[in-house]
Amino acid sequence: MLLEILLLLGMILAVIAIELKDLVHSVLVLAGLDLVIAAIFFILKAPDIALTQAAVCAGLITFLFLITIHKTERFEK
Amino acid sequence: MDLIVKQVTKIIFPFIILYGFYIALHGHLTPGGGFAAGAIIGSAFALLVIAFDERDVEHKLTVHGLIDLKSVAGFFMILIIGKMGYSMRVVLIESQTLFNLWSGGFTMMMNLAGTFMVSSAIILMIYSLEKEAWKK
Repeated sequence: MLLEILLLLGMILAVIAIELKDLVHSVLVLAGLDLVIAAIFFILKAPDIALTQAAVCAGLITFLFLITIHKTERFEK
Repeated sequence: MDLIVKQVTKIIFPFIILYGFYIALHGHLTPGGGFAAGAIIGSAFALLVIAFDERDVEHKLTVHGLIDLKSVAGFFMILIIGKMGYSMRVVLIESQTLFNLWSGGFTMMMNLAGTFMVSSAIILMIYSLEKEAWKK
């Protein structure tokens, strides 16, 4: 039951991250999606992968996207 | 960034570093290991770079110092664990107890060396990007 709720939440967050026009908010929603994926990995009994997913995708990928948005434009046309 | 982010970063930064070294030292007992610990320590420095501007903080580690640190970590991994660890393996394994922190042979040292490699590489990447991004 919890797995289905997390899968649905991840799908909703992915659609929100695509549809947002402000790219900084989109990157933050994408970090939330990565945390949901880490929780799904933890439920499926792979805590090692969950730890790496939470550290890399929610920490470093967000930083790289923020640097890229700072060098280019913030709002999608 | 504003004042709240700076104060929370000042409070939470040493605990993230402590959690990273906990993951590295317990890598053979609990989930985690060298790569996850290095990524956690590197993301702590990413938080520090995002929260503070370049004129607020004086970086103690330069890019050349990080390249030296990365080569020292490779030296540590190859020479000490490879050569000296092979000759000391009987003494090391006999002094260890099962399911304790000091167990698992050379796995803890390999995790520490991997942590130094991954964290120095990620911090080098972050500082290079930061110098490139805020140079206007």
